[in-house]
Amino acid sequence: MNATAIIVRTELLRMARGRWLLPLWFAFLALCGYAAWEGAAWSAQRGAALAAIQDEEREVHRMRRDQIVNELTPDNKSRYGGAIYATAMSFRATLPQGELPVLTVGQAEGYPMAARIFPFVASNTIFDEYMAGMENPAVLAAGRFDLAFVLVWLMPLLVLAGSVDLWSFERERGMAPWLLAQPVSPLRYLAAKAAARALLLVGVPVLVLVAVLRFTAAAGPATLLQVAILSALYGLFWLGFAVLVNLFARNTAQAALGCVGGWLALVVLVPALALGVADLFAPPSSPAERANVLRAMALQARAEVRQADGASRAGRVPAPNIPDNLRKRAVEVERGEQLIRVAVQPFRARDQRRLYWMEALRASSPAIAFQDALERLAGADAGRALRFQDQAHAFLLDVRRLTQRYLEQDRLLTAADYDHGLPRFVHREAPPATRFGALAFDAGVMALFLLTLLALLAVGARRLRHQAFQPE
Amino acid sequence: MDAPASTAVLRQVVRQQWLVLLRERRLRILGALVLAMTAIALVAGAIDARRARDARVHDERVEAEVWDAQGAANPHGAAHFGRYVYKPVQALSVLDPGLQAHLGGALKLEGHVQNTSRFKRTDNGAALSRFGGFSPAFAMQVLVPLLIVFAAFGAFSGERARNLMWQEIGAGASPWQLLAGRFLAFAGALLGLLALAGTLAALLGISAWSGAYFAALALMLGAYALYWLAVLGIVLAITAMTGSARTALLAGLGFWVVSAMLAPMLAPMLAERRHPTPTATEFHARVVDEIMKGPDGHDPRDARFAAFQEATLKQYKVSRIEDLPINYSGLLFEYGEKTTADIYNRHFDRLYAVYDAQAAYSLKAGIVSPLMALRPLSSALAQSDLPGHRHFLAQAEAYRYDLVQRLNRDIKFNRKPEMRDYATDVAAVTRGVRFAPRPLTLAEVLPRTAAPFAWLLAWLAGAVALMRFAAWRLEGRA
Repeated sequence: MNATAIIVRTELLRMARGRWLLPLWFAFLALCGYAAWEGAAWSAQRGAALAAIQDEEREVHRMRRDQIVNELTPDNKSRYGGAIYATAMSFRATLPQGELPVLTVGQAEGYPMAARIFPFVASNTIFDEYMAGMENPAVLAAGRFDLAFVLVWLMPLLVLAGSVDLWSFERERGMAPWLLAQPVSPLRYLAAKAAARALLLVGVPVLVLVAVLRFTAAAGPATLLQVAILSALYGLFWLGFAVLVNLFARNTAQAALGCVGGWLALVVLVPALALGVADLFAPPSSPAERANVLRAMALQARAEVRQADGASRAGRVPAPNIPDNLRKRAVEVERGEQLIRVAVQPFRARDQRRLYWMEALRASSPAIAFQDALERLAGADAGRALRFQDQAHAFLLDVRRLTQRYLEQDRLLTAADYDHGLPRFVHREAPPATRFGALAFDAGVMALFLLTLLALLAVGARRLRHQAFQPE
Repeated sequence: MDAPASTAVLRQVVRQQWLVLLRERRLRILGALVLAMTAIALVAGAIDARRARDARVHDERVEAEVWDAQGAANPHGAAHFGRYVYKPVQALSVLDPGLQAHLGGALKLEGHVQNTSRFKRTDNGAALSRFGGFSPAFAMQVLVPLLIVFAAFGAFSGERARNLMWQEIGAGASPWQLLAGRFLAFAGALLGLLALAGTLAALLGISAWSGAYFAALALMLGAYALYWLAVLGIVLAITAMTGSARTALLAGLGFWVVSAMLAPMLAPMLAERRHPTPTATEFHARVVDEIMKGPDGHDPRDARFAAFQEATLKQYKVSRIEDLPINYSGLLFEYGEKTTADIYNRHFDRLYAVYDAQAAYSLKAGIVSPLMALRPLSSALAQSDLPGHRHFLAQAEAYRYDLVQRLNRDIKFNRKPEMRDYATDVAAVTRGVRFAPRPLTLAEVLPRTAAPFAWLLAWLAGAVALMRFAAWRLEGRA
């Protein structure tokens, strides 16, 4: 057995004999289990809400079809405008949950999960109904206790607690000079010790995580593997950090101080600071200002169309199937859309700039990069939510085009239309390459932090040996 | 030992601990760091509040212009077009932004519907948003206790501190005097930090200075003092009971993780499980259901409208709607608005009762964390909590109702049967209706702070009792 294997085995034995390892694993298991249970409950509630929204659309269509089949006669057409005029078509666009929603709530509560689409609705208001939830703001402010919280915030504490005395213990007991005098380089010695700790403090928790996910979510092996790799990378970073702190700390208390300080800096302070930087250099657009501008545009469109309409109030003879006032409304809506498109540009540009900054700033801490990766794996990331918004908006425009055809042909909706002729919204996911690219970026950030640590460790270990043989 | 001698020993211990604190470079750096972060957060918060106030003034002006720009419009259409109102920024929310980021700063008011507030700061975020920003309250609620753990964990534990303690006991000081002395020394430093933070907060809120402002600020700082002293007492008791510095540090950190991180996160979630909040879809479905079927589910809207029509004809002693001296659709809008407003009020009352039950449940978590008592207290005094928000919503609803009913009454009295498309100057019709929300008075806030204050006092008493117990154990060993 070579020296490295002996060190690894000794370290494993030492850790296994310590009374703290098992409680630490059980604590992690309990936290993961509870978080997954909470995540599953949240996901079920979300799924039910989405199903209810889709049911609402189906129910409206069913009711209107029944009206056409059972109640409509040539004489009472005007009473059933909602069922027969294409201008009254009613749709819901919903953002389905991702593959692993139990992992994190992510940005799901900060973006609309559905859109209410009518041909004449102003495009800037289609998400309004689904923007505000009823969740207690106190719960939202406290943050969701999901798996991402356990992994991003608490797993580092587990790794740090288990490796806080990795070298400081030897130093405290006066064994450091003796160990450094052995024919094993300090770097190799530390690497072997770290490998043993990685096995028990990173490997086991990652296995626990995968088991919990396997039990609570219907994710494929590829997704689980991605979660495992990213979690292991993050855990290894914190282990590396603990080793680095150990190289400089004079005793365990100092090492603990350094570890907690580092955790506080990278998990709490740097993200808060990064958010401050984003606020400073790329503040969000003002939704209140945007609402006022768009309302003014709606009024302008109405005024323009009324002015153009002038005195043409006489009705056509014979009257068309679809009343002409709906055609006028269609013109107003179209003009409104043109004005909105222009007016919304500066706000969109500001929001895109902010998102760009927020995405770039995830490179400032492995914690942010890891959170981002988990959100992407859960399907609760901002990019997916924005893609849904774009697709819902495009669907609205499709519906308007369809409505326009019905208006031009003066065609009424029929039962057959309700059976299979109406469009349906289907959310299209981003291409796998795009998704994988974003995840690779997050993994790259974590790997870069880890590599930097390894470089510092190599320097630190050399310094350690140098110090050991310096006269006091 | 007689009283003067005992006081002299205590004074000596306090002085000695002060010297230790002043000499400890690590503590000086940590203290300065926390103070600097609090100060930066306070200044950033003040700048942010100023920006929000300016934006609110601008938005209000533009919104009024948009409303006036409608010109001649159908009043019912105008009621649907609606108005926006904006929530005022409270002066002390600079110190504790509370739930503000999750509450939304604006509300759309329209006919038939009571909307929830919009434009939350947490909307449209990214992964970075999940970590939350940095506020003075965060520094004072989460970081200062951590500073206390780092500063005090070695007060009695560790080889050097332990030896010093036994020497002091050998020299005639009792363990209780040592504990109390170190407590007073640390407390002095903490209260100094609090005074600095309070002074800076007051200076930044100069435009809001009033008796009520200072009273609320003083109460808030008092609550923080109780919280910090309770944490200090617990950490000192831990260090006195633990010989090893490492164990004391880990126990202190464990207490911090549970009380400052886990409990504040878990308690609201458990409260939500105990008292479930309906989803937005469920809430609106229930409201619509009641509007359509009546409160008991057996009084459909059509029947109610028919009964209303009959009663109206009877009241005006006519047999046809056309013969009424007023416009019937305006009257019906007025009646419908009253009905739906009552239904919405009832459902929102229920929703807020659920929130209140959740808050009461969360407060019970004060048994494991003093922060669970401090948070609602601090945000209540800053008026950045849910009841403060609801106070704003209630005023907005009163305004909405008045506005919409004015428009309905205009139709009722001015629309003649021969008018096919009725339009009027809606700005003129609603000119007399103004929205001027007032914040809660301190007297209205105080009752809500009684229970959290009691919890904090109980924590301080518990911490002192724990210190007593630790001193008693040391006496036994001595």
